[in-house]
Amino acid sequence: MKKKKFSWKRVVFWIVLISVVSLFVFPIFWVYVTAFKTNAAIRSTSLAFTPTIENFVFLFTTRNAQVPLLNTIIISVVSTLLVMLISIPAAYSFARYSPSGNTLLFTTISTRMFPGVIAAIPFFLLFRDLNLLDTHIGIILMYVYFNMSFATFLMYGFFVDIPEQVEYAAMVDGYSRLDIIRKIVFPLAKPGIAITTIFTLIWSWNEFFFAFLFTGKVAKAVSVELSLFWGATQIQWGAMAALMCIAMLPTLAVAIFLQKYIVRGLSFGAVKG
Amino acid sequence: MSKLEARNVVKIYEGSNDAAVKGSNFLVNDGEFIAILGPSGCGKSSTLRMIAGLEEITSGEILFDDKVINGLTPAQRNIALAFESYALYSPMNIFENIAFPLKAAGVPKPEVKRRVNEVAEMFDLTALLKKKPGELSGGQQQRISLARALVRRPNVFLLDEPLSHMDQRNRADIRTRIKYMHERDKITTIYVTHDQEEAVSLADRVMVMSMGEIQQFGTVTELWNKPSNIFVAGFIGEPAINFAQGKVESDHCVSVFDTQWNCDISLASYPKSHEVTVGFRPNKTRITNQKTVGSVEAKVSVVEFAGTARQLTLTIAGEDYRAMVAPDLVVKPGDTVYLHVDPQNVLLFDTKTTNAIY
Repeated sequence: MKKKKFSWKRVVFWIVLISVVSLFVFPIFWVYVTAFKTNAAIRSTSLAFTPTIENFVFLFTTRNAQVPLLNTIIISVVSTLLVMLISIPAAYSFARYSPSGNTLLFTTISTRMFPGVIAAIPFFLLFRDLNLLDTHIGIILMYVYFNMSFATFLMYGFFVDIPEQVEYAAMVDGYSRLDIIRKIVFPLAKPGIAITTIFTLIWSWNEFFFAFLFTGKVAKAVSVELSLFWGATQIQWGAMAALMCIAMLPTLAVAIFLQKYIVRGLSFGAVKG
Repeated sequence: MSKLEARNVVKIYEGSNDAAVKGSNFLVNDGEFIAILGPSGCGKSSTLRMIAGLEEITSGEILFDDKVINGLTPAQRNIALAFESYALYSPMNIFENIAFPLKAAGVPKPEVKRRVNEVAEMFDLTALLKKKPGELSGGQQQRISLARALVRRPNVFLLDEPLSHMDQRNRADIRTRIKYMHERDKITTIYVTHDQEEAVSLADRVMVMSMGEIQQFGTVTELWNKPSNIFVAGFIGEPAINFAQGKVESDHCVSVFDTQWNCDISLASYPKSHEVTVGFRPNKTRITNQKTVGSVEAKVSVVEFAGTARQLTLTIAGEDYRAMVAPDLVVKPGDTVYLHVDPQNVLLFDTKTTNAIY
């Protein structure tokens, strides 16, 4: 192998790179390390510690953390399924027939342009009257409302990029509109559908504000549960970190395993052809 | 293989006041190869798509073998269509792409395999069958698109500008294959293009369209020698025909460029001084160094080499005209020459109606 020449440019490059990456990665690292420390070790200034799983045991025995975890799984998975069920046909329709010149699509996406807090009070009153507060179905509907427009808008771009002539060709070849969607459009739009599903899922998984306002006991999400370790008299760092590292897993998994897919999905429109 | 007929076919798109196709009437014989030629927006693609069944017919009828097919789906019409953008199914490999229409028709597997291999061999695709469309060049992709269209043995074969995206060499190759396929199978073929060279080299007859109307439908010789109006005359021919304003002088005689030109066309029914547009093709001119009777004095402004001939740009009364001359004529920019057009090469059009006078 050729020896690379020493250059100050490279040194500066690596220093900047390492500091930026550490800045982003350190909090995650801290959470994972803290989760496996005892309370005494957390407060100690020494870096060395003996790993323990007592925080996790506490979570799932005394604290019943499986309940909010399960809630979050149900809420995010069901809401994402519903969103995709509505948004895939909606986005396809917007891409293929747009009688309104897409003002309708813009109106739809504009529901995501105001700060969520604006909708909070009217929704709260509405949900109270409909007895939807602190129910799974209530918060699921809330998330469907917020994600539907975004998912439709995102997938609209993917569907528009599929040349209509491909569909014509399939029509001439003897396939029905539904067959064409299943056999031609769906495989072509797969990266777009995947990326939209992931975004929707992660958004619902991480959402805190509405979960905090609209759920209390029954449908309490893991994001809300995390905030409750911060008590009046003490902060349960160890338990909080343990739950955090579980709650972070889906996001991390997506970030690590689907890196290439995300980049490809996001730049889908730019690199076609 | 079918005879194709259009009766008063009109297409008006939703939200538009103008008709994209204004009452087309034409007949394509069984096994004939025709080209629909015209500038973009002339209604040629709309016509093709109505034949294919991809576009609803606003009014009028399209018939295959004397049967109205307006209500049939594209698949029921048993047509094949090749697109400008190839329109291949990118997630499938080449074999699956070509087999796709056969699978839709429920053809048994061994038969699918046999026919795909046969058509693949014809288009030199055998080595590519396992690849995906994205890995291939434009020329290869268009060959696949043609193979896919022809694997089904359609009644009518429709081609929508299939060569537009290709470089010169691939164009020539694909053109030869299309011609060969037609010679072999005699499938009624309709070829839409804006390139007159393609239309002329491939088709038995050419339909020239403009502004949603059929301007003329005839053989290349007819379009060349007897264009029906100024548009057709100007659209067919490379380099383009020259036009000059003139007036009827007497029977078989017009005045143009302050001279009198004789022509083979009878003008007995036109009054003297009736305004006509005189057309003459650049390669049907004679250029001399000496003035003769009926010749027009012109200044040479540009001399270009054009293969076996030279193309002159002549300035007469401030206007530019083109003339093709033999390479041995000694001429350079700035020279004064004399332009002469023989009576049989003079085309006349009524300036007001733009229609040809014969």
